[in-house]
Amino acid sequence: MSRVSPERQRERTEWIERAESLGSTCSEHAAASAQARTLAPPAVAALEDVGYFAMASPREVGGYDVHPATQVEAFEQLAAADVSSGWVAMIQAETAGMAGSHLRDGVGLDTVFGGMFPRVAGTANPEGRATALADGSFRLSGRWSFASGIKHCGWVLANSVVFTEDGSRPTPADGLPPIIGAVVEQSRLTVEDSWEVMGLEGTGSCHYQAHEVIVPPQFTTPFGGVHAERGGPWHTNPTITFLSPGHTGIALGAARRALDLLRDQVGQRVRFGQATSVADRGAFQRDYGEMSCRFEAARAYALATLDDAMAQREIGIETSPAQDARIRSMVAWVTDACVEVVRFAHHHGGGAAAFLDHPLQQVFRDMIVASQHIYVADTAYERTGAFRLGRTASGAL
Amino acid sequence: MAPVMNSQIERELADWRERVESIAPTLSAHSAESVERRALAPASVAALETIEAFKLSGPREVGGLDAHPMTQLEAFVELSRADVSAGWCTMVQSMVAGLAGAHLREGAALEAAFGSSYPRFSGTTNPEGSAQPVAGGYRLNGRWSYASGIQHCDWVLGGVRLLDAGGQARLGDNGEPLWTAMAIPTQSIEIEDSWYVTGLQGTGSPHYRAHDLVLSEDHEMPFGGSVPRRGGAWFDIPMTTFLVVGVAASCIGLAERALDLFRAHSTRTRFSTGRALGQRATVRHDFSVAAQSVAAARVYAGHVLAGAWDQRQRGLPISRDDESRIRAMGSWVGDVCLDAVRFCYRALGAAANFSDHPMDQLNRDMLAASNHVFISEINYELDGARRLAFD
Repeated sequence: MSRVSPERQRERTEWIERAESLGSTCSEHAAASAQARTLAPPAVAALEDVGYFAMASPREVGGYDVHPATQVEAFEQLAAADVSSGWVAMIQAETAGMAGSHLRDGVGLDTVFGGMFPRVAGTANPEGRATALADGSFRLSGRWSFASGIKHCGWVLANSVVFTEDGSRPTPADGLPPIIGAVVEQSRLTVEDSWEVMGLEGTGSCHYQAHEVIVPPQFTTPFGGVHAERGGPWHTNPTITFLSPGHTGIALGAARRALDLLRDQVGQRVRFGQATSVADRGAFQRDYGEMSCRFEAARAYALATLDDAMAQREIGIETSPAQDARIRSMVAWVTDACVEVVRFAHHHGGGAAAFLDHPLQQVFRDMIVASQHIYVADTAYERTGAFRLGRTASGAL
Repeated sequence: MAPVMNSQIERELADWRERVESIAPTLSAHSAESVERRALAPASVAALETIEAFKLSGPREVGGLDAHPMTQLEAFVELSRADVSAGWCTMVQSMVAGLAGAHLREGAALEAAFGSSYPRFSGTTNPEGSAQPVAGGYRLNGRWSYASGIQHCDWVLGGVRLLDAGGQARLGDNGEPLWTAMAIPTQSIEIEDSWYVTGLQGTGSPHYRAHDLVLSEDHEMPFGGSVPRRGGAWFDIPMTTFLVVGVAASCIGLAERALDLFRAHSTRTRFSTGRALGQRATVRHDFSVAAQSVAAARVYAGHVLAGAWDQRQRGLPISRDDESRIRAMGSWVGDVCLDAVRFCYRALGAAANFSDHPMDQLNRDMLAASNHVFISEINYELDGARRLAFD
């Protein structure tokens, strides 16, 4: 628990209002987004109008640099209206935030952020190959996955492993970073129509390919999020921690929606062979109470963890691998709690919830797919467990 | 959004962390002794009194500290983490004294209990006795259970059903039996040697009896819906809300202690694996889940209680919805802590079975604590019904 400044109160109120103002647009177009397998244009326009894509970017590039706990609440509110909209907003906000905080001053930054606030898609996995050329440029080739919202984005952040022209990995003497993030115009990439999935269909998280695309060095950033060029205290975090509010908010929003649907719709249903409605059953009431506690605990835990982390960054305390692992495992824990809540809701939806047009069906599938994301994988527990038990953890994730 | 902290509460919290830290070694050192004698060790009682732990939940008008519920929670958590029995006895004594200090009417009983020094108060509000009006006050009969720490207490609370002069149960307007509670000097009752239990042995929570004991009217504490006579806004809340703090905190402290202990034993290598517990990926994974569940429970409890406190400061009542939500929070916290302790116990393997292994005692304590009525699963049903607008 922390003190909340009046300034932060105002910021929070403002962002909840922004989320509320576009919730109906996103939910009205949710079915169309799922059908098109990419976010419906009115939803994209609404997100852009209220500034969601600029939420996590430094103020110096036109972003809002919103407090991480407020980001959680803003994404939660949005995901409760439509999980896919929340998801696309989170990916674009965070990807733009990474580019905006890490591109060096110069033509790259000016081109990407010089006009209207950019729509930036991308993925953290370094799935491409960047060959370092003699003039300092990189020749990019590869195939990347999970670029949520890429169809409506002008820019893509494509992380790539660096090679020298002779095909070997650079040595320290080469003065090259081992991995770079390249910010590339979407029009220079090939977007595949590959997003055929069970849930989060509306996010349009397609594969994309680069075939020998030349990227000037000013359009690249070092990978991993260290040494931000600009931004607030939250931008000093490594990528792994910088990304934590988004997934947290999405999971909470999905779970909240499931609980609301149970209370307002599903619970009123009388199932075949029963004399009373679902919500009349003592067993259901008991589980609804327990699941509500689980949800509220997860939410309180998430906000408190990010409040604490931000408070440390604000007074200049740097994060550590152990802290980063702890924050990421919080997100995994919150997600697991929310998956349980949504599963419970789906279960009590009964046979009616099997139909694709049932409101619980969409949130259930969205939550199941969202919980597969590598960021919330259970390796997070193993990693923080090692630190908590006084060991060191191997690997990056 | 998290309830707002202010510097006064932060100072109070920091002060209590220091106070508890100052006596934690003493409490831990006498933990086994308390279990052995099935009552809190005198050295622990003295240490708790030194830091004024029994005054935490009492109104200031009678010498209590009226601490913020977050402070109470954190103090009880850390006391339980040092020694479960000490934490448990403290939360019972502190909260029961708080109820008595807030609800006893002005008179000889209040003066006798709180007049000279702050009392050591035990007892239960369950109406397991009866009070019949007679000349000079009430005649008390009953057998009550679970009076944690009664061996070292001067006063005890006893919930009673009210009888009429003819010995028949008095009924309220709603047709339900009327009940109240009496503050009783411990010297006037019989304490049974009944505390033979699996866990929480060190709390000394035996039965106690009164036989035709006559007490003046001012020993009665009208409560259960009645407005307290003294204390801050936090006292004007449903009794269950006031008391759930302690049981939830005890469970959290107990689970934190189990996690501490597991960490200390994680170099152990079980036969058949050849690797230390802490080297095994599954153990790391499950330990993280357990540790985070307890951390979340602690944050959640503080969040809910501080929210309720804020509400009272703004002059808003604790509604029935709020009350059932707070009670369900207690149940959820208890369940989470039970799961965490189960993991710690099970993962340590057969070595933890032995009675001289500290994890054995924690497992026993957790099993016993989880049966407390304040964190019963009934609370989920009540809360679920209210959230679904069915009550």
